[in-house]
Amino acid sequence: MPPDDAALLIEADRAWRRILGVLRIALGSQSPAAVTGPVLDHLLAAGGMGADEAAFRHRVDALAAAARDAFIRLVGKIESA
Amino acid sequence: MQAAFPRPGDQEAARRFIDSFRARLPDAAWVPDSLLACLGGNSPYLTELALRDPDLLADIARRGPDAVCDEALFSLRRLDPALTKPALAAALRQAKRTVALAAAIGDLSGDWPLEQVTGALSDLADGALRAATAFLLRQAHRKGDLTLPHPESPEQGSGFVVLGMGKLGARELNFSSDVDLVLLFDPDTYPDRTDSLAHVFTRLSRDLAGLMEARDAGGYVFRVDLRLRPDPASTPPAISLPAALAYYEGLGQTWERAAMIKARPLAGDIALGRRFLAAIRPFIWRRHLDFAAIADIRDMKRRVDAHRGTALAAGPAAQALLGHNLKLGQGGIREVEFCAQTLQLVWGGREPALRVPGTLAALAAERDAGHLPADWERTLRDAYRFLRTAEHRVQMVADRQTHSLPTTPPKLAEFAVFMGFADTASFAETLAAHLHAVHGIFAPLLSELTGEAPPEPEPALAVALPETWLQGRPRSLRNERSRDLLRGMMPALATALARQPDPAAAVARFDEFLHRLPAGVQVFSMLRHNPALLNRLADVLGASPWLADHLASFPAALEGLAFPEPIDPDPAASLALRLADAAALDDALPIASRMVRAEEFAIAVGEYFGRIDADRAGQDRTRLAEAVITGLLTLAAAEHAVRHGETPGGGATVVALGKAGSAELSATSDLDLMLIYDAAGAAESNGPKPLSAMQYFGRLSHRLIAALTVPTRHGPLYQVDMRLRPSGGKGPVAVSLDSFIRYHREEAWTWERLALTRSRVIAGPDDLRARVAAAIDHALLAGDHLYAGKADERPAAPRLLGRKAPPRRPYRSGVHRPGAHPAASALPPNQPPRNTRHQGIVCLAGGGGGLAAG
Repeated sequence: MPPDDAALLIEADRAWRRILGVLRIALGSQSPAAVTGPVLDHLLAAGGMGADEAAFRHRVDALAAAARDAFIRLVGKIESA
Repeated sequence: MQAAFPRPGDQEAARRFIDSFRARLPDAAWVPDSLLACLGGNSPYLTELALRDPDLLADIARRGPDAVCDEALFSLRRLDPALTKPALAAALRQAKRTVALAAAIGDLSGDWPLEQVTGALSDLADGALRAATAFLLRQAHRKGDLTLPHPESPEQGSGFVVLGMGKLGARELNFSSDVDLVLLFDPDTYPDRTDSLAHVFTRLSRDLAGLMEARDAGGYVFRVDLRLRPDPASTPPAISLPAALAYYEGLGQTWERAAMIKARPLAGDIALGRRFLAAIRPFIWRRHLDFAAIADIRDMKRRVDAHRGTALAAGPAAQALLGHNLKLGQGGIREVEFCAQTLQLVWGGREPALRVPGTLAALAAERDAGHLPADWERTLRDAYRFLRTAEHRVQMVADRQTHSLPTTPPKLAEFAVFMGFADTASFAETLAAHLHAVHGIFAPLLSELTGEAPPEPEPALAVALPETWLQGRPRSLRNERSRDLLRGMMPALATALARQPDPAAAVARFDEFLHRLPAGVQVFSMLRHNPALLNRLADVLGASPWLADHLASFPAALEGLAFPEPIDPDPAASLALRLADAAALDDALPIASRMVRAEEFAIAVGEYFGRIDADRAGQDRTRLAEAVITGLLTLAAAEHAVRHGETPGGGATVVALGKAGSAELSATSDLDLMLIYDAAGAAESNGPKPLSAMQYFGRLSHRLIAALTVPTRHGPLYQVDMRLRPSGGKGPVAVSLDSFIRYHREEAWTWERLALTRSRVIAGPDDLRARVAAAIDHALLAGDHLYAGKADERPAAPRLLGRKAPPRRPYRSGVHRPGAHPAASALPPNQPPRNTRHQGIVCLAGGGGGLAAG
């Protein structure tokens, strides 16, 4: 695996696990969609994931897109998802 | 023997004694007049000892107190087992006289430091108690009251232990101290004698006290005090081990914790005593900062003061000190001991270096740990040495257990001389300086520990906090003390809760926390005196209902918030040890549940607040789970073997997959497991109820799963998923190694091999673990069988794998319907959807992306 792809996937894996961990701890069975505004901002800031929801979404979007591109490069096109 | 002995306080008495001694031993010229004058002119008791046995005094003067004392202590260890009881008592009293005179001379000569004097007296008590205990156990064995496991070495494994408490426990015994003892027996040592056992040990205890206290013309050995035992007003002198443990765990008071700091098994079954002290360690040493202990100690001191009227009188020191109690009086020995013990109780739970029994050693440890300023430690140390020396001398005068200075000026003047001072004024001045210095530290030390000023209240929220709290509705607030503590922390609490993003929710969670707390004083005390902890608690309550719920269910978890660093550096190893000690699976489950929940909380808090990263959190959770699985599998296998025997040479391993396999468990993750066994060719087990190999390991597997998932009031220990085993939910729960190899050679789907990439063999016999690991490696790496049974699968692999691709959208959220686990969509047709155990778990990353499958 090219080192850049490996680094990207490692970064994505860590980020997803970090987000999953914090959301599971913070919300339990509650959906993150139900949490908005200052509470979510606080949550994200406390979890070290950005100052607010917009910054968090931007970061996650970018990382997700890059990871998917890497997957397609490495494994192949995805027929359905 | 040349030494600067104190001058005689009573010149006439000194002269009489010198004349009398010289008349009896006219050739003992090596005994100096200064020694004889010191003894004769200051201590009727020592005078009597010397006149009773002038050769002993001459021997001490010739060979020195060390040699004579060592010899007497050695002789105690070599007493003839055939001695009669009166002969034993006489031998003990002789040893007492010898050591007492030698220690007194060592002290008066200035050659022996305080520790050597108290050490010699403590060694004497140890030796006497050991000899008496061995004698009484041997006697009970001869009479048929007990059947000792080692009659030739009666104390060994006898199930009866003498714990030295107080000054004896700490090897700080006074010249005329009582010896404080707690006597325990273990009923399990004599399972056939449960009815009469209490009577046997009660009689033995009384005989032990009798041997120590019996007087004749030669005096006595020691007075015995058994009142430090649990509930002394209503319990016999010897307590059964289970009763003592139950008492300390449920009813023990702070003063009993302080007393137990100094406890030491010194006679009888020493191993039993050590086990007992290890068992009550959590009672003595609390894991959190124990600020409630400070208030208790302050109350204890207040009661002593009120009872004794111990304040130093006003006026010139020489007058004020008449009759002053060196132990309990203001600035006295007890205040030094309280300083040491208070800091030990507060910090000792977290800092094992502070768990030392001796007062001076404790002060030094507290200084080294930064809890006691060096100049305070020096002041307390110097005062303690001076006060203890004065206490010895007071008791040495007439062998009375007194702690008070003489009450008349002439007698105080004599005592000042005995202490080596020129006159009363210089002695009183020195003593008063020590007393004032100690008291000047004692009060501020306790205030410093307790006296943090709370921040100003935030009026609006302070008003909004439910009045019901202070009306005592929650159980935790039903006593005045807990309400006082809460009242005291209310301003800081209001401020901390107001800072949360949703203050109303945080207040509601605190309310829930209060209502579910079984008792309040300990927790409120901790919060009241630790503002940082209060803020962290508010942050947790504000952030996470899950953590708030955990805290409400397990208030002890608050300790996990108290410090950034973990209390236990390796909780998984500790858990493994605890489980290894469990006698049965049912005993192990509460241990595992308690520790796993406590550690999960600590990990979750660390992860949430960014103190540890996701990798570390996953590894910590996984190690904990492995410890649980290993411990429970061992116990389950042992119990299984009792019923069904074994398959000789066979065994079972547990393989972790998914996030458990990759050591990435997150909060609420379930465990993907597989049990692989090898029956070593046995068709069935060899026990009283034999089972076929498949049944044998299948039932063992079910037992393990049941233990891991047994429902409790707070939910199961873990959720377990076994469907990554060969043939998924349709195959046997436990799979043989041969079947596993065959399945992966002939039938396995690609996704199943993918699952194996994160597999680890985590429990089971080493050799079998190695063979299972080799079989997994072969299934993953041996190209000759890849896709052998699934030739048409390869073109479909990207499509199947695509289900595991990263998401198009950052996250998809929602509560999953029963049976609709996100991973189900990635499963091949023969795989049933995962069950409803994931109901309610937030799913991120659409088709899984590696996030939801844990």
